[in-house]
Amino acid sequence: MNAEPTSMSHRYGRWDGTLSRGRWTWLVIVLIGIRLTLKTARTRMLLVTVGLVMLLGCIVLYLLSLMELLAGTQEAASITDFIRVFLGVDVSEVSRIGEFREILWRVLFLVLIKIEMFWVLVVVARVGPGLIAGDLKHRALPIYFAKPVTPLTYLAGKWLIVAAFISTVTLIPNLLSLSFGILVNGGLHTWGQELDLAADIIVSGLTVCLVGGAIVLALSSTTSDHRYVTVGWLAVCLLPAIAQGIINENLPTDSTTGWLGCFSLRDNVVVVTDWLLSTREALEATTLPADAFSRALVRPVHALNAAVVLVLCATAGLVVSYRRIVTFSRSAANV
Amino acid sequence: MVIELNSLSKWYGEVIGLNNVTTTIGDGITGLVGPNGAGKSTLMGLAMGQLRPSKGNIRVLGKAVWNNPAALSDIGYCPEGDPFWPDLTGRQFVAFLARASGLYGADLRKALREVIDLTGMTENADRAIKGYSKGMRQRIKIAQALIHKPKLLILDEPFTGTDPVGRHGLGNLFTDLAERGIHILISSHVLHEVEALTKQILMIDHGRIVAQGHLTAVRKTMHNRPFAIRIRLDHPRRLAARLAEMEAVTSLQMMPPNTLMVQTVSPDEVYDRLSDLILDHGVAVQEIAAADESLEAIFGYLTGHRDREGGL
Repeated sequence: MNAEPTSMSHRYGRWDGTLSRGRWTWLVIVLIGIRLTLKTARTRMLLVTVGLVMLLGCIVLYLLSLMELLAGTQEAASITDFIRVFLGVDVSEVSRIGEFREILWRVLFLVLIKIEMFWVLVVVARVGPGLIAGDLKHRALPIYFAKPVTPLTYLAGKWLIVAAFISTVTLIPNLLSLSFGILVNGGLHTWGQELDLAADIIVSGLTVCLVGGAIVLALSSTTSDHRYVTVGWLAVCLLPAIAQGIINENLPTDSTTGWLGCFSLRDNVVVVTDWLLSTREALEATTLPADAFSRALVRPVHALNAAVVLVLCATAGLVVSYRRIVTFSRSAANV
Repeated sequence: MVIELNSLSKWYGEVIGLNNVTTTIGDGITGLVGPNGAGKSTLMGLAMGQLRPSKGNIRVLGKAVWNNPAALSDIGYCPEGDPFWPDLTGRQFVAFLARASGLYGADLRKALREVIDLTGMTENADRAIKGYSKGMRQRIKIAQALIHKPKLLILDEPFTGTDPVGRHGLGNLFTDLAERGIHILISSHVLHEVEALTKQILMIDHGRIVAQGHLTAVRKTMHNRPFAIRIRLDHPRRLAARLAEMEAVTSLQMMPPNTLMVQTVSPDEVYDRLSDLILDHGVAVQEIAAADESLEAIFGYLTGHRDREGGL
């Protein structure tokens, strides 16, 4: 089957059309990157497992909506009476669940985002390392830059590939879960009420995309061996988290609310998300017991500090990867 | 002029890639020859706008190329090596780079069919590149360089890894493209490959141009070096005796079997006299050839490099 073709046609003629000057070049890079990444069965399987988180979100939202619909009915009153008499637990607050929808949904999405951070770690470790490292390994940069592709377009395309996969494990499942919750809860009326929540989920998802994408691209641009990038990515994510755990264990809570509490990228994302969702403030505004939500809420850290760390990491990542691409594409090694 | 270099220099730190080169490269096929590390790839990188000149400037098809991606629409580049994504098929690879060039829709589909057919890859275009032979990889690289119908084709070692049949096919393709008005700058360190394609050469070594122009004209400029003429005939001794009488002949050497090697400072005079001598003495001549007008010989004279396994 590997027989060398020996005949060649000679129908080549000058084409007199116009080229579109690379307006959509970034999209071309994104599409080919996604296509190549999805060629691996393991990556496809990994993405399928993300559906589990979405399923969890949908189930909880469905149950909350169901309880909201049942609240105030005679059947619900009988059930709460039954629980109070036989189990000795006062669940009369459940009849007011409609009033707590805002905070319950926000806490739910905070928990979902915490869980999704694990998927982000795994998915980025899977799809990100080879994005630039692979091009360096195959010496593909000259062929990119022989086309009307600038280093910035190239970097934007590569970043969007990572962002697309991160969105698949955070942003999209969350928005789909929210849409499902709105649908079962009453449709457009609820949508109007939850618009803020949707916006917060989008900003949180984009933050993860920006930071995760920038860091993995920076690592990927430093070597042509994607295995080192994978190790680097896991190290960047896990080592500070371990350090943060040790600090939290050994220092009083008050002293870790500032910079000392901002080592872990994952925690910083969750802190910023918590700040966006305003879960703590929303909880304090209700009569719900804060202790019941203590495990769902995050450790008190100044959101501004966490945001600054994330912005610095993202900026450093983008600058490093851009400089590496420019330097390499214009170096002797590239020609 | 297709490419204009004006006092062009490129340094990599303390290493000189190209040293104060001023020249022009004209129409048709031009062979860019030189040993590894001579500066060929640096010149190509500068012509592609991928390297910033340290000094001077370069214009391709009348446009400055550095920091000007739009100028690349007129240039097709086939790099050395295997810049592939192995899981893509040949067709996907070419289509991707065509889109990166700004070619979409029906134009893309038409151009894709055409270049794949042109490079003889029709039967293998839908197979993954990882299963391609070296020759197929070269062809698909050339297809991507041609897809946006460039006016100038820059080919970096395009014959690497191809078998003789494939090499012949590629040579025909390049000749055909040149006849259709595509300018080609082709680099190789294997001189006979370039020589088979064009007599117009740009010879560089240590970042400097050592010769440029038609091979014969370049050879004629080398006055201080006697020309060698190889004559294969039935009775070399008889002819040698007559040739020895000529002032223009500086040395004669008998080489078995039946070959006479003549060194002369005036080849035209020797060629004129040869025809008379052959007719007068009725010698059966099998071959008369310039022994050192080949690209390899000229390059050897100019740079002192010795031929090693067909390359330099």
